[in-house]
Amino acid sequence: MVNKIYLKAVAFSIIFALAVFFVINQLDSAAIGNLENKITESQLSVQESALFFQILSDNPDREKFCPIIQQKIDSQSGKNASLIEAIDEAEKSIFIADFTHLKKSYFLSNAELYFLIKKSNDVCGENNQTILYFYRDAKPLCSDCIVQGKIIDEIRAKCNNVKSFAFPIDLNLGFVDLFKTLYGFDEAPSFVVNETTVFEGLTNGQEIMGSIHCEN
Amino acid sequence: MALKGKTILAFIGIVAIAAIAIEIFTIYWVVVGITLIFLFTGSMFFFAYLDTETPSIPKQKRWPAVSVIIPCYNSESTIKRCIESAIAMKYHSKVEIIVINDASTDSSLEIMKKIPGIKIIGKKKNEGKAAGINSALKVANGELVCCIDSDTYPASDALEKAVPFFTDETVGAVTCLILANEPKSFFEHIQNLEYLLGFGFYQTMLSQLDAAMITPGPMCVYSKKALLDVGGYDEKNITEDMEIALRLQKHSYKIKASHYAKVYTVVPNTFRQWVRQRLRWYRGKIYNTVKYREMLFNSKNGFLGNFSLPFTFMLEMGAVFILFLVAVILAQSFLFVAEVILSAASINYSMPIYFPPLIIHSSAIFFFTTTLSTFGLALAVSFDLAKEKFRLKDIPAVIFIILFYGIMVALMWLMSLFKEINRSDYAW
Repeated sequence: MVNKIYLKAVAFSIIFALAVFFVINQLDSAAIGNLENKITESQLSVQESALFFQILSDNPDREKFCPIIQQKIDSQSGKNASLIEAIDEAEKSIFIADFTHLKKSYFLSNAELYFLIKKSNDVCGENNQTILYFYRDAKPLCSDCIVQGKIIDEIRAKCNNVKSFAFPIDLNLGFVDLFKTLYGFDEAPSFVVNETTVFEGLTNGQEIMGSIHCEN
Repeated sequence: MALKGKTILAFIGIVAIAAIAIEIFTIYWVVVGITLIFLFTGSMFFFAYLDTETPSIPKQKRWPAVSVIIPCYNSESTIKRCIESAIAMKYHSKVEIIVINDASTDSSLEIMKKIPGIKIIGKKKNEGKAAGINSALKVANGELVCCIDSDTYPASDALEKAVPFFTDETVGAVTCLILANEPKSFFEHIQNLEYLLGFGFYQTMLSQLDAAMITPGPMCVYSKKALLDVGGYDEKNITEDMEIALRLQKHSYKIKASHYAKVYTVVPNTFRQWVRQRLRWYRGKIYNTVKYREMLFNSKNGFLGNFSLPFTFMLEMGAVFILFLVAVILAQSFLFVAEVILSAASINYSMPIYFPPLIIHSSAIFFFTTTLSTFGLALAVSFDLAKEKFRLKDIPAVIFIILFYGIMVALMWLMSLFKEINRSDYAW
């Protein structure tokens, strides 16, 4: 009887653990699938906006098209900001899953959105103010990045025309390395306002506001 | 309480192990590892339940004489009812009642003197419960001795339902189902449920596997021969009821459990009393596990050596380790929050209140699924074994046990561990 109970207990423990992990895995997969869908939606929205610009280039009626594009960009910009929070949260809770691919897809889509906004400013004459914000994602945790992120969030909330795009410097994103070379920064937090002003290190809000044309 | 060097060293050591474990294995795998021990232990109990028949009361051909021994020290509020309950126990053979007045300074002696038909052993110096029982053993005439705490009231059929479990000479003791006496406060209700679980399901299953670790103090029936054979109670042990259980089994005596024999005991009704009781119990468990360490993973001792003693100890220490893990994670979070506040202050930025995000790992889901299902099943079986009805008013107590009681018990284990390492004085 002794060995039988031991064997049954071991077998049951393994089966129970596997069953729980199977259910958890299903739930995690559903959550990851949901995030993937949202990223795909973002990519499609960016592609659609890019297509709008192509149509616009052959059509002189900009007054008709530009507000539509701006509306799309504003909407997607807001969605992207909340999407990265959801991805970060999922990455920390779902342990057995590689989020690198998912995050790269997201950041690429976000970078494309940034270039669309630039284009919107050039083609439609919009006054979108852009902040490219670079932070550190991996350990050791970057306290300055948390503070800088909050400051940028506050500016974005205050100024309707400010669009911020956050990118980790430690995720091996090729375009982030290009930005680093282009704007000459190396550390996090760093950020670039309207492609012209580069801030390296923790910077207070007033200093940033000095280089932004804020529209409430 | 002065902390000794080795205690501080042990504390730092466990914190370091927790921090290293989190760093190397990640919190995820550490929690999974501990949960697997919980799961295996729970499974063992349930297969013991499924694979063995729930013990019914064996048919009794002979009813041996019983000596009821009640050690008493300053129990003026309970001793009368305790003795009267012992007298009221129905039994088919001779029962003698021996009360030991362990140098009480209250009116216990006067109260017991007024009760006819009992033997009183008076002690001039307070020597403790174990010494009292040992003295009574010398004059007890019964073949069996039934030790009852002076704040415990056995049901009238308790003895009748316990004695038949002495099926042969190898049975050294039979334990009873201990419940809280008339639980009124919420805190007493919680303890009643805990006792029901502990002495209902777990003690019954352990006895089925011949792996019981305790002969509970409130009431237990012993074979006098077995007790004398092993040298009586250890008078210096703080949990003599656990020590005698281990010693009996070391000498190849079995411990059986009768969940039919119900006994009601007074439980702590203040948090302070509860803490004192738990520190004594858990320090005693640690002390006795170390004392009988040669029984750990010793196949000579069957399930006791291979399962109940090592695995329950691992569980208890696992709970302590989880507390350390939580403490280390909280400390790391607080340090990071402080770092964030300092960063904000360096640029005169008034940072909104910042909390690091609360992460619920799937390992935590595994942990809670395992512990809750184990707890739920054990509770259901305990109610069934004890023939008690689950009432709506039990629900708050169950919720409290799930949410907080485990943490309180783990904290008591933590304190007991360090008090034992520190060799602090015993106080209760």
